[in-house]
Amino acid sequence: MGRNFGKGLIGLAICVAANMTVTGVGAQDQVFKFGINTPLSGPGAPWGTYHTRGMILAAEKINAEGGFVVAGQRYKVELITYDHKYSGPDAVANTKRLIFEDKVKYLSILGGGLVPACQAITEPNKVITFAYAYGGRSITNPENPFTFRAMPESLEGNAAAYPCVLKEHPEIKRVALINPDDDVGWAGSEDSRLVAGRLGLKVVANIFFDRATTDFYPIATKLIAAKPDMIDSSTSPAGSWALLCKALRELGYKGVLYQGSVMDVGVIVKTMGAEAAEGMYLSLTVAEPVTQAQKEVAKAYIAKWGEPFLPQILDYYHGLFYLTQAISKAGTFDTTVVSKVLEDLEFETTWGKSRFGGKRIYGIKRQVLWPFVISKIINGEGKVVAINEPPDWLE
Amino acid sequence: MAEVPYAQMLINGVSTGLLYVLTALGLTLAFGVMGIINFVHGELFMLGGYITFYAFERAGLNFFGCLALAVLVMAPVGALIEKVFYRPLRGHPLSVLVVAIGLSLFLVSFGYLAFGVQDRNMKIPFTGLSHIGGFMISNERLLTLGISLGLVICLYLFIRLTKTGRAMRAVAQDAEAAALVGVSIDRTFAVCMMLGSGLAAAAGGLVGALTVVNPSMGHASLFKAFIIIVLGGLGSIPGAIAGGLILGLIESFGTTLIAPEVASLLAFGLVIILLIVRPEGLFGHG
Amino acid sequence: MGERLAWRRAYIWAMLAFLLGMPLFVKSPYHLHVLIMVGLNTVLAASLALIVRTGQISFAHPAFMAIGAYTSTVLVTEVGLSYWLALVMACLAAGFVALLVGYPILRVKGAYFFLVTFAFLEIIRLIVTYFKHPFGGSRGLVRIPAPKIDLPGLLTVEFAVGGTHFYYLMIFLAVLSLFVLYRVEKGYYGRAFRAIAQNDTLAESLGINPMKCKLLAFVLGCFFAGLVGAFYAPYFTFINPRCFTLTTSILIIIYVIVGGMGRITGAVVGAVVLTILPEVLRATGYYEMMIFAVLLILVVMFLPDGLISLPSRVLSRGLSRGARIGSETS
Repeated sequence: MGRNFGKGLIGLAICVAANMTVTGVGAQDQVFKFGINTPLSGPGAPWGTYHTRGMILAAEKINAEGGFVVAGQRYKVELITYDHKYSGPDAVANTKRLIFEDKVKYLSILGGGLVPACQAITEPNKVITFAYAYGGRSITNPENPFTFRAMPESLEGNAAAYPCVLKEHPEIKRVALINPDDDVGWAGSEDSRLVAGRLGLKVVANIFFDRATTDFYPIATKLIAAKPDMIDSSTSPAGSWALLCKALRELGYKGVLYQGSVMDVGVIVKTMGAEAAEGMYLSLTVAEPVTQAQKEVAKAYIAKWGEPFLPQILDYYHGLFYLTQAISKAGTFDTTVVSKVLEDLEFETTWGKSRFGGKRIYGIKRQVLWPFVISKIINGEGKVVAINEPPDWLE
Repeated sequence: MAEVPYAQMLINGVSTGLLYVLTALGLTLAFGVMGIINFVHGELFMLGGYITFYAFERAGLNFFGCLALAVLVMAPVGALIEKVFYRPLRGHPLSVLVVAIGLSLFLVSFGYLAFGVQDRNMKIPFTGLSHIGGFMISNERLLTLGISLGLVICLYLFIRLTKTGRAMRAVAQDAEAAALVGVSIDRTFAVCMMLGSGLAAAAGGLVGALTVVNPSMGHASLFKAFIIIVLGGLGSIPGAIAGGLILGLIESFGTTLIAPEVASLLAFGLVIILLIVRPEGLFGHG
Repeated sequence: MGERLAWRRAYIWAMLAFLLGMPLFVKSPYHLHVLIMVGLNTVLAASLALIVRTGQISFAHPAFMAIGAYTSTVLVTEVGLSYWLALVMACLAAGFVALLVGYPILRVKGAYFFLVTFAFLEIIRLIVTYFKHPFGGSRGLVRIPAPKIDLPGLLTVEFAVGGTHFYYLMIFLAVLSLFVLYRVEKGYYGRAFRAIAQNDTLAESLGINPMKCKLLAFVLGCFFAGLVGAFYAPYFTFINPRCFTLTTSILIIIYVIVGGMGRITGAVVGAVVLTILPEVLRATGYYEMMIFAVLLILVVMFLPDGLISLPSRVLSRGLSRGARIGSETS
């Protein structure tokens, strides 16, 4: 329990007492300020932790190598972090603070639903925003050219994962969708319907549940009555998904279970029991670092925060690297120039070759693409099934 | 949908409903006997859940023992809250409500800081399923159902048969008259809070075992408890029982037959109608 | 007495001048944002204070904010009205709904009133969540257009996201609202409200109609809540059900109670202090909530007349058990 107080104090320290400067920034260095607008309390608080930790590790690595070079001058990365408590007005206030007080021109925000409100401020001010948020075309579109989606959404995950699942389970014809009843959930549902449609699957149910639900028996009963071969939830949080699946198995559901966003495998297995969870597909999720690059990140993480390593931080780890690469290549901090460079940049992330794409779907190349993983729960552990290149139609 | 699973919906509704009843009982008691809205009730539920969790996971005690521990710890906590925060404000229910809100806010934030944001699970050793006449229910659920029912019956008997129970009923009817015939208001209120907190703690432990334990679980359960006591009538135990079952059934049938959002609308719609037409609820006395 | 009044007048004019001149010194949209939030919260707190003055604590204030916000937005985006017309209609809508539901709601007291207003808040939230058209459901309404002043030949202003225009609008609306609320409080009705809070039957015997007074306070209070909501929508450019929750109502209640119950000046003080405090502290949400909670508990138990009574308490050196909610003596 004392350890948790410690964690709470760490959360506080990350945010308030000193806008945490990352180790490695000395007094003489030129500084590149990068903003982080994330939920550190309230709903979504665990995600805020992944966000900040991923970026702290990245910034430290960059600074340890001497920073990055822009037009002959070395710059070190400094992170400025604010807690928006998943509240719209707070997110807007933080954005204003970052842009007008802290004078940042590059920032990241986590939280679907909050991004459009912040875009109303960042876009006219030409501030490049890395959006870690679900929301599909409402966030990523040609009217918001300075917003880059820095992580895959369930559309990308499902597009890569569905064919893989269908190969192992060719009997799947009917899919039931279940997602939380908010903008994130609706986006996830749209994504799944798009992918299912392309693959000729029939969507037999499309249910939305209140995020606060803990008793899933009525919903499970409804889902089972629709007789699906596979139940897909692209955006449910791990806890809710686990409870739902537990209810499904208890009520006799024998079909395939599929989840489309990054989550904590341990929570699922613990809540449902390893036996009930057997064979569940988890897109975009890994239980352990897979590639060599990821194992290095895990080592750095454990050195700083101890066990266990949270693979969820990986998505947030990559952003600063390709951003600083793009700025170096552009030779200037001018965001219009840098966004053109970013758009066409080819870079490496811990998953392999990456780039921005999505022109066909979103109308503009602002969706980050890299090889997408799909895992499966086998014997109570998450095991990687495949790492797939994103299909062409996502480019 | 081919065959409509009515039997399953019924058992879903009843099993959830009984758990709701357990949560709402303490709240309705507090209102009936003490005349206050014990807004901190949700957090007593939450703390009960955490005590059960830590005792079970860290100390490895038997699950029933953990529940008992939660009750034994939270009951005096409830009495303490009454003594320190509510007693000085006795006679001013709005002030008590506001203080209770303050306590609730404090405890939720404290919960996040002390226990962390992650959901916690308890793997209680009652696995397997039971088939009962056409529907399925997990043994876990069956167990919590049994415990809830048992506790509700115990409470009912306590109120009906014991001297303190009678004192509580007397105070609920007319506090002044009860005081005049020698009933100790302080003692009665303390017992009332202890019962309420104990029940809340047990409910927290049971719900936590079935689902998850997290610092905001109290808020959600308080919400439902409010709906139930409005439906059933503030201060009425049979009302709380009826209200809880009704809510459970509305949610079950509404969700499965139509959609989850509709279930909430129905429940609240019923609440609003009752508040306008019969604010004392189905069983309450205005 | 005349001299005190003159001082007070001078003070108010000085404040006004200071506030109007603020954007000359304060260029940062962030600071302007804080000031705008202060302004909004003072109107919210003051309007709730009027209702509290009659002895009832309404948890439904955010519901009326929502009515104001959604009404003005839908009128602008779907019906095509000018924002200014929509603003007026939104306030009227809020007031009208308050009138409709006020009658059944205000019949009940104390704990029941809490439950009823809480239920009403939830119903409004459920309605805007369920009806995806035109309310946008859980996602709410985004990219709400900014207001425009379009008097050809005279003045054409498009409200910039930067905030200066919004700031002046807020000043105008806040001053207007506070002025109206203050006049009501100091007038006949203000005293009638207090009388009702203390003792309904006694007030009736003095010729006061308790129901009429409660209704007046409620409608007026909710009217201004709607006004705030209608400002909120284009300023933040988005609204969704998560903006209008029980936590929101608790926050407004905290402003009123911690500042000084049932008095406009108290509510204003509470709103100002408690809006600026979190910005200064910039702590994570949990610590912020704990501080608010502790403040609330301390005030209710030991300083029931709120922060503004602090100076006079200190001077008279007493910590007497003053009044309680629903029956004040100040």
